[in-house]
Amino acid sequence: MTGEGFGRRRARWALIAVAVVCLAMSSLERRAIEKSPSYKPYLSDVTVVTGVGDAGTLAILAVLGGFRAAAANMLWLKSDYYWHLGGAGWWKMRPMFDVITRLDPQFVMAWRTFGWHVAWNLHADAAPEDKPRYLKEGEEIFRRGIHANPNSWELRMELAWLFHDRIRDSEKAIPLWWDVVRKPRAPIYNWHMLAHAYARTLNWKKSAETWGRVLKIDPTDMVARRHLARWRRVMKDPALLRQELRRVWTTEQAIRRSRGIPTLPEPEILH
Amino acid sequence: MAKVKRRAHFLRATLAIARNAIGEALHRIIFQVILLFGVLLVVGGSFFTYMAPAEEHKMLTDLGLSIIAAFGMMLAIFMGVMALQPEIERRTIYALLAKPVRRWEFVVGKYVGALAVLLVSVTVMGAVFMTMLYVREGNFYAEMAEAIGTTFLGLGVMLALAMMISTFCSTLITVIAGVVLWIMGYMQSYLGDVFAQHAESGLLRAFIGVLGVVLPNFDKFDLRMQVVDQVRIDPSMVHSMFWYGLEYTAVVLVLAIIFFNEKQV
Amino acid sequence: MAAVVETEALTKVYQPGLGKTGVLALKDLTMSVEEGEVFGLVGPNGSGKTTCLKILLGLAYPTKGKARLFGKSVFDLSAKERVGFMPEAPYFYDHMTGEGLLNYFATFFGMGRRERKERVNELLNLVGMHERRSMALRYYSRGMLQRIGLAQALLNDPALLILDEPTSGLDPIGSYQIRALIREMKTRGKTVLLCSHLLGEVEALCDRVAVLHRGNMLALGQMKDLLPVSERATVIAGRLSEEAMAELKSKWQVAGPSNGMVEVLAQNPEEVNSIIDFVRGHGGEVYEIVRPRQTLEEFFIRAVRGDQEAS
Repeated sequence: MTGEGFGRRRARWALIAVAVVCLAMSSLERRAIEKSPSYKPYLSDVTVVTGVGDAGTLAILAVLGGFRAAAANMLWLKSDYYWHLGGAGWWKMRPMFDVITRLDPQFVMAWRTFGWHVAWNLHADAAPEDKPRYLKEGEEIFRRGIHANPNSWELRMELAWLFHDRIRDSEKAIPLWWDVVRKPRAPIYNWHMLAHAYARTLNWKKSAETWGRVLKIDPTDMVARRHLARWRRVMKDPALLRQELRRVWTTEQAIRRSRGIPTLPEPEILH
Repeated sequence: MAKVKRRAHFLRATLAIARNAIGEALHRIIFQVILLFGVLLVVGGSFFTYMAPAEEHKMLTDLGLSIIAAFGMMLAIFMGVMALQPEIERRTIYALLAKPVRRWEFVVGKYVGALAVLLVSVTVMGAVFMTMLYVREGNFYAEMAEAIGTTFLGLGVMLALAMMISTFCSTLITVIAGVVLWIMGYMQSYLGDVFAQHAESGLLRAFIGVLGVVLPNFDKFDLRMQVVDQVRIDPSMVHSMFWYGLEYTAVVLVLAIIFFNEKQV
Repeated sequence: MAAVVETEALTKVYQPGLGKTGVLALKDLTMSVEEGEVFGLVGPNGSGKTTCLKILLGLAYPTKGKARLFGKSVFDLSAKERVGFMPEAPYFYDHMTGEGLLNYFATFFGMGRRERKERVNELLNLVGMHERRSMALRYYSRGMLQRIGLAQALLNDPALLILDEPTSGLDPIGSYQIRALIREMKTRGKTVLLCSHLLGEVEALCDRVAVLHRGNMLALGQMKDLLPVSERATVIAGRLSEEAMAELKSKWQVAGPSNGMVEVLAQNPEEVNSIIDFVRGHGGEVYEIVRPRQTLEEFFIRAVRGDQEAS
């Protein structure tokens, strides 16, 4: 080999060494980015996107690459069209929302609308024998959304509301409301819902306690002040207390009957 | 006759080549067309939103930042392709390399020039976007500038990749390779999370791990979600993004220099 | 005098691709260009001239052998500092002006602003492009590009000037100016390596020439050695009487008379003198003595044909 060739080879190996060192350092920086608390990777949790196990959809997601969020927005706009269409359009929205939430798992509003649409609208439109399925599906949707957005108080609220209002299962709703109120940005009215949920389970002590906590957070909350005053008034007289509890109970059973939800047997506390 | 010095300092030579690269790029019609389309889409995109205020903000932000990223990528690929190959095809490189100019000065100078043009383009699109946001919402969002800045880091990586590939591939192949790398670069966390977790063999997992190191991770430069979700952006993460971009670009440029050194023009 | 350009068994094989046979562009080229001479490199298309130039300028790498400039490696930048290169059919940056291009290239020689300005003005005047200095290169004609190409090659006042088809596309005046410039370079002690298809130009300008064909060097030498002047000559004479004419024809080979002149063929210088003495002795006049010489073109064609037949 000539001297010139040797000199070039040496320079080449030196450059390769520099490249390898830079690649190693870049790899460390990449890890540092991934470990950062404010890093939000796309499709961060496999359960979010492989829930249905549709490999074809996943391939499309991959191809869309960096345009996921923009594509999700386009579909979101389109879904509004189907909403106004009604009828069959409502059923078309379901797969559309599915794709939107896969494309952009951090699109909280999409998750909320998706779950609400299934558990309320499609549930209402479905045949009686199919209805329970849509409630279950709505619940799953909200849970998946929470999994993709663990800091979202909105999705936890939707899930709690599903059990509180739609399914009317206050026992299950209570821990879910606690999940909501523990989130830093959750508005104060979620505490109200928690207090109401306790009241529906006839746990008047916990209900009063919760109203008391609301007043500690916001002493000007007139709703909390009113409800707390009412509980304090009735708990002084056992008869009045029973009367109030019966009122809450019968109201709840009436709502259940009107919505076709089976009523519950009367609890001991009312006797 | 004027007394002639020997040779320019490497910085001077590199900057002279960079200035020429800027002049060349700005005179190319296709560059002007891509930039114009990018700006028009940023402006036009803001008219496609008609939702509730919170959703509209998400739409505008997603669309605007996506257009800047997409058109920025197109410009980066185009400029990477146009940096070296046309000089060889049109033989303008003969007169230049016959001068006392090192090949690495040529490659680095071309990169710096193209990067400067890319910076101007992204700044123009970003300024238009932020102005649109201000007009629609009455607010100035400083975090948008941060998101655009980190996107630019990714574009710098793509520019270097396109230049490197163009040293041994034709223009068409380089463009195709650039687009493939763009898609694969955004898929990195998807590959790492989905495939790696479900991979049955350790060999496949290791292979995916190597891909993650070797291939550019463009998703690591993406702050769009954080900006839309109003997540507080950790300064150390941005710091790491900057160094990742710089180090990865250095790797690619070194490879470009190695390939170009071996090239017979 | 030290050799400015040296090649030693310089060989270049281009590999078109995997599994394909290499293309031999240069084979064992050994030559040198001495300081202060004008050296011509001639050959048909594909003979290896451009490959040789590219290797000398570090644009291509030899497969085997060596090439040196001023005794240094061709990749040594200090060697390139003293070289000026004018490419064939130069093509420069469309968006630049003539002045801008010269300024750009001058930067690489470490020239300061004032120095650059002076030098650029000087060269623009030299190549006759001063009035078109601010015109974009995309509007330049071929000839104008040639002139600018030459100007950029002269920026660093090079000790070695490599010119690839320098008069291509130029009008006769332009060609004449280039040739005059090359002669001036020589008188100033510069070395010129000239690659040209115009063999008349090479013959007129060059001290030595190398003939290449299909990568092989067919001939290398001084012009006077490659193209020797013949011993034979033709003496053109007139104003001879009929008797003298008859005697002339009996002694030597004569063509004519035509328009009162005859052409007498002499086989050697002594016969030339004898003929002159005869004509003058018989009251005639000697108008001209013509010594036929083989042109470079004839030599070139013979050499190339010979090589083709041999292969």
